[in-house]
Amino acid sequence: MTDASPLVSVSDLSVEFGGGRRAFRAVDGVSFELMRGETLGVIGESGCGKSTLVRAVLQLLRPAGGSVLFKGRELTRLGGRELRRMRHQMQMIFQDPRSSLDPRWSVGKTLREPLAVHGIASGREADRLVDEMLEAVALPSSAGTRYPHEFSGGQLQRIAIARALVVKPELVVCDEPTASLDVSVQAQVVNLLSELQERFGLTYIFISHDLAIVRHLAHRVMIMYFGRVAEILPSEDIAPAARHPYTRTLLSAVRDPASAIQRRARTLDIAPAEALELPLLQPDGCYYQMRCAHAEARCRSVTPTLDEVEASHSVACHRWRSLAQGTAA
Amino acid sequence: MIRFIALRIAAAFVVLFVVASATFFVLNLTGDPVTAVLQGTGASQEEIAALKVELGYDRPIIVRYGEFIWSVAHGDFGVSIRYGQPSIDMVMERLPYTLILGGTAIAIVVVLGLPIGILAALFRGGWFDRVFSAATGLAQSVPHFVVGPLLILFFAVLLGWLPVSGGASSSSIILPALTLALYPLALVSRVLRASMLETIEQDYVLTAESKGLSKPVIVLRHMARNALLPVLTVIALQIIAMIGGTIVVESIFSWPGLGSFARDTLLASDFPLAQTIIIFVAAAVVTINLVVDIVYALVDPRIRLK
Amino acid sequence: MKQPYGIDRDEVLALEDLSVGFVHGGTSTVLAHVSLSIRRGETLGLVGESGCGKSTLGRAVMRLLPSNAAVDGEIRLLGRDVRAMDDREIRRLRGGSVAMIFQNPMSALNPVLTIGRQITEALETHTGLRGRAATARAVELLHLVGIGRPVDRVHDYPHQLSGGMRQRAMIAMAVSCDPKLLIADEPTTALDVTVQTQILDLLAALQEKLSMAILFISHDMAAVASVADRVAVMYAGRIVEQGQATALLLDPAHPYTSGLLNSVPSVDGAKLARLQAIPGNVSAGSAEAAGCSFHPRCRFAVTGCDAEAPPLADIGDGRASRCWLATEDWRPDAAARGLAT
Repeated sequence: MTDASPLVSVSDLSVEFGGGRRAFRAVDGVSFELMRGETLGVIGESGCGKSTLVRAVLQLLRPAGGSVLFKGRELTRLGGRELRRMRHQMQMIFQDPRSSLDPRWSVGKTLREPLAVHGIASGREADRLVDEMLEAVALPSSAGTRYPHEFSGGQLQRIAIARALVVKPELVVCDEPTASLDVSVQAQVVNLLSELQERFGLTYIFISHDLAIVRHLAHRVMIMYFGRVAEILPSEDIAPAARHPYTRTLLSAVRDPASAIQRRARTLDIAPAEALELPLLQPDGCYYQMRCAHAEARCRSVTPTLDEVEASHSVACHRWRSLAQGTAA
Repeated sequence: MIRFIALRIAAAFVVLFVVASATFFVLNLTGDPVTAVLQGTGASQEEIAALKVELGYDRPIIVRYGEFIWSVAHGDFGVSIRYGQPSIDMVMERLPYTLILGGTAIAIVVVLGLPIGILAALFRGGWFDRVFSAATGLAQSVPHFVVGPLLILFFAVLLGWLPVSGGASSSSIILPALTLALYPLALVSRVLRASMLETIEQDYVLTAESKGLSKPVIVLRHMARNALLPVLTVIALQIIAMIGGTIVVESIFSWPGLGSFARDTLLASDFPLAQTIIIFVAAAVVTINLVVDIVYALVDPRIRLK
Repeated sequence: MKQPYGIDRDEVLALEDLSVGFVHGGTSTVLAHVSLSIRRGETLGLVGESGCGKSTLGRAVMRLLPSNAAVDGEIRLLGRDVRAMDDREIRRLRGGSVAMIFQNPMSALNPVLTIGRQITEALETHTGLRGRAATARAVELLHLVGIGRPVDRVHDYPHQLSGGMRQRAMIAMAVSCDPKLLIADEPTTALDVTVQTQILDLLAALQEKLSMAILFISHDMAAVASVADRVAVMYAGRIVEQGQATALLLDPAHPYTSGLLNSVPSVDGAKLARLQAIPGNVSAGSAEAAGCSFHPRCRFAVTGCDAEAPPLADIGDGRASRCWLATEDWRPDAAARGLAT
């Protein structure tokens, strides 16, 4: 975080699906800034809009409103060709490397293609960059002549990472890159992402449903609920500092074996399911009201704004001042 | 569901209107039917002109179009130029034959095709499946005009079991219906086999097995119903393709239906009659699609209850 | 503790020396000489990564393996030999005394049948309840698993329910005929974290209510920790460690168990610069390889680990570890601290 100006600055970004009065706001007025070399973790349950948000940031989906500044340029107003010229600076890594790699292309071809598409390198120079990148993700250079089916899931994800990084991007969006991997391999990929960030000075947006991994990798964590930002705070002390009731629910749902064993002394009542499901309609006021144990009248009518708790910690909850800090809801 | 059906029926009428209009313009812009029909029959220019006036073909096309739509909406499809009879009567006389022929062919496809496809999938790689794949491959590669005469030669001429042609006795439908059904029968059972093989891999089939259900219940209730979804579309397309098939098949077997009649009519430029036939064919296509949409919605709740 | 080869009236499931291989061209071994048992009302957590054979084990118990599976060894369910049963007996067992739930409740439920129908068909098969009586029972079951307005829900199709609700419906279906053993194959993996907790709580509550045994198969140590009484850890088709859940999870004896537990970051406490990863990959088919199948990835591997496979050694307190280093006192975590200093 050397440069003082943010690499990415998103303000009031919205994405709608469907048109007219029945339009569904998948992303609803999201704002955040991302400094160079920083990792922003984005967390939320399936359907919370986290994947839609990053696709809108990268302009893979055109947003309905709001602005995205990347190195000071307004991406939402760029045309297709200008955007394509900037693409190599913003890359994406997906959840399932098996489906994001072409099975009929050798690894070398897969890695050389983006170099050719963006006119970065060809011939010997391209081969050199490919070898360098394979080395960076700890694969032997002989991997270049082999095909995806010859690799394990963890190795495939290394290849997908190499493909994203070979064009020397500044921003890398990782969409659940460890979710489809075995536990013992997840940690390898997480460590690799940390190493590569240090080595190439990368800036990450890291999406996951796994709070523990997000906390480990990210400098700041953004918690999304139903298309809106619930809370954004430094990852270091997320557990004691979290203010939003939803963040606390997520924290209490994170189970590590030790705490899970302790929790077994609980009462064995069967809780009704419905209260904890996502609402089907977007209600007035705070979207979290149905699941929130602390909801009061204004939560059902007034949408909470994202208030600053302290520097780099903001929360969208009417009651954050009155709710006790720390312990789970 | 009622709303769904009502919307589909409304859409069907729009389609029919568009088809009727398009038919009218396509036919009338190609030239003047009276001249086309009477040319070379020895009729003088005056007689042709008089007939044009009598039948109203001297008026501007837009006036005739308005009149045409108006009368069609009232069930009046005009008078055949060639036969001088109301064209609707002529169509109605032949339509039942084609409906019976098509209906029999569809029944053969469904009653034989579905169980054959299911069995071929269940005994994949066995002798039944191998015979199945050879037989369907053959059936799909032989056209109507070969199958028809071959069937006639074998069953009518050599064995003498069935009549060669015509629509006189009730057994005369068997050969034309078989000819018409053969290709769709092969296609539908092949698609169903492939669809069943995909279904066997589904998790819910494992669930059904883990519940201790018997094999027939698993196959019919859990697999076949899901496997049928893609097959319905194929059946619908095949029924529509059959309409074209009837033209050839009815000609081969001298079946007194609409198919062979349509060929003669179109070749003779008898516009009112041709228009009527085309509108009826369009109505048939639209009805088939409507029925398939409804069946689809009945079988698949994900379409019914979005 | 039950003796491995004794006759026990409380025994629900016992596997003795169970091996499974799949034949296509050659034979690939998926399970190698697995022995384990589950007693009435007990939950056994079976932990392992993809390809370790844990799902194959669950399916073998219900004889739901594909036809190219070669099975060897004994599967004893409620004192009866499952492998010797004829088709009728095995159907009576499936969904009757043993039921199963799966990872993905969307694909495991038939999309064209209502939730209610999918429950009543199990009831019809095993209890003789039919028509209205079966539907009424289905409503009760949906209520039992915490689904609100069950009278309406019983007519819903799977796509009309959320993921968590679908898994509840799946559970209702599984417990409909009062099983003695529930095999839960990764039942929380496809669900959101907050929903996962609910499903785990539900399973624990139902177990108490219905006093059934549960074979809980998962790759998620924390999920296993929150329901299992005993845990067996599998690697490459073999059990590498087993014991009481608390002891095994808090004080692992096998290097693989310890590696799995340590590779997951915690949500509080100090942040580490790097996670403690297990190097290498789970390679398929290593059940036949010479020596300990974990030794290529093991930080404690010594000469001899690559030559002969270690036995599952008793290390006291009903615990066992398949490791040449295993003794009553040796623990990988402590040994790692020793290596570091």
